[in-house]
Amino acid sequence: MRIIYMDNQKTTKIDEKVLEAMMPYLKEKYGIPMGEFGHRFEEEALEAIEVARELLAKSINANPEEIVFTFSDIDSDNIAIKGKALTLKDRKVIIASKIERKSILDSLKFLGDLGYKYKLVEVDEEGFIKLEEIDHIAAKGAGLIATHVGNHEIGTIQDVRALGDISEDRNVHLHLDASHAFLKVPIDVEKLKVDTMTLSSHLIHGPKGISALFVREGVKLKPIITGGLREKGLSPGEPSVANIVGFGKAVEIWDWNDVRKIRKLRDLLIEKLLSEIPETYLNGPRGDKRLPNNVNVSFMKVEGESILLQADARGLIVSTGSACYSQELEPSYVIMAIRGKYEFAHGSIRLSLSRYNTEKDVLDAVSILKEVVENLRKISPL
Amino acid sequence: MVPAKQFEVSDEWKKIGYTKLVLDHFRNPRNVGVIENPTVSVRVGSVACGDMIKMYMTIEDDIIKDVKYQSYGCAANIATASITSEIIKGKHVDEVKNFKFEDIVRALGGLPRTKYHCAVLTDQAVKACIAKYEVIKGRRKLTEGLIRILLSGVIDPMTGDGAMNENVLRIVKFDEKRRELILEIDGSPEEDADRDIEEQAREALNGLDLSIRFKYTGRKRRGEFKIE
Repeated sequence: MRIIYMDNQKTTKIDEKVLEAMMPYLKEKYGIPMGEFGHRFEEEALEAIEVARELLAKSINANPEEIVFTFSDIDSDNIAIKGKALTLKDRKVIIASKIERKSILDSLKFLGDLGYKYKLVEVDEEGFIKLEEIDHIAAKGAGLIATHVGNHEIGTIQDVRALGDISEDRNVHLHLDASHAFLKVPIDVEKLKVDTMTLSSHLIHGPKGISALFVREGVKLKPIITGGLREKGLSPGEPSVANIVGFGKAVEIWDWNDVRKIRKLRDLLIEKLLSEIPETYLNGPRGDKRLPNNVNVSFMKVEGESILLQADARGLIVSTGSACYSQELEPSYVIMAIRGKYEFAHGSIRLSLSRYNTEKDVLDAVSILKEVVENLRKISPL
Repeated sequence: MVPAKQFEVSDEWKKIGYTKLVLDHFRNPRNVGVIENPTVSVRVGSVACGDMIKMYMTIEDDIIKDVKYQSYGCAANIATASITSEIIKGKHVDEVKNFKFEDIVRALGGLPRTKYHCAVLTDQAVKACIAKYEVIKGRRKLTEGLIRILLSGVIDPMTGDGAMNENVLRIVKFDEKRRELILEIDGSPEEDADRDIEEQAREALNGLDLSIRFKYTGRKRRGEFKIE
């Protein structure tokens, strides 16, 4: 059976060239770095890591010293948010939105237990964060804004320039989770006033088990994981050199022409889904304010887990915001925040594209979903 | 009639914690559809909590001649309703009365723990159908206890648990003679989730010749993430 993988915001397929670059570091070059010098194994590892660091830095116009390698995107968010919060002496107020990833929301709950206050601002019906609310709270005194560039579920690209301005005007640390936007949306940290930012490897055809955190020069974070000085003491575990090399390679071979191609496929997918399947609604905005690889729709009268499993049986791999499919048995809080209705959350399906998808994939995905949704509607009491 | 078209799926089906039998019933649900003039029908669960079953039965001389259902829900929801319809069809109502949700789980060769509530929901649908049948037949008095049982399938969309269990839905007064019932919902009629509880309760008690009035306490229950 032909498999159409459209769950690229969950994770992506590793690129062959990436894997090839990693292999020597999984076999003969198995050393890990110590300090600025060392024996041959250590130096070999150090050099490989620094090459990757430069590639990452270049991709967002940062200095290599501003890139810290961590072990996952969740780690990066935790290290930045908790690390910044622990440096706050006053203004122990943190601002985020209602549609952040759990790595942000759960970090805030954790800090809430430690006595910090946090405020989750509303978003509009397309998932844009209400900036005036952020500014209002920041003006009263806050120490940290923690939010995202591109939304993980509905693809909304936030107005990060305006967020940067608020952060500068109100003198508040800005942390951005760019894991879903990195290399989908151009990011230039010389122009963007961001203090810390999460960059993902496994969402750009790099390996899993590796992530990066941009930490602007001069920004102080208190290490939340202790045990050494590696990676500025912020992520001191034994680095997976192979993963770091792979991350660097994935960035190096990135082609922005692919992004343009993916955006066209996204728009075709949206148009076909909405026109060929009745009672289907797009979640999130259209056009340039949407991640180029994200499509999220709600099918009325049917439930997401059933859609997902029926699609899977036909070779189409997607994701859903249905409660039944989530480990917590809770409907997607992102869809609830923009729609306010359970049926939209339970019937929501996210299709996320990559450079490996083709126009045929898009057309086949639509016909599979059309059949699945029609079948399930026939047995639905709604 | 809703056509019970079989799903065509590939044989390269992979297991994801559901047994083969669960997946088979999910792929090819048996007895799915509507009975036009059923002896009894019930609705359990709700759109809000993501699991809902409507069940219809034709019962003649205490034998369940026909059973059909419609399902809005996950694979387990569809599969539990499907296998249950096979088990109870043709059986005497007294036999079905002792039916337990564990019997459904067992018949399916097991379910993931997080999906047990689907079997509970299906079991409640069956029990509610039989109880209604007995009321209609005059064998069972419509008591407050029975109303409680019929309402036990009403789900609180905010938590996914039984609204009666949680005391979010309460019986204020039941006048047996006049067949008048007053129910109270600990919530606000402005909340979708709370109005959904009312709708579920009405549906659970339909066909019983009852006059029902709802009261709301007006309390706002929403707010998982407290915004300070």
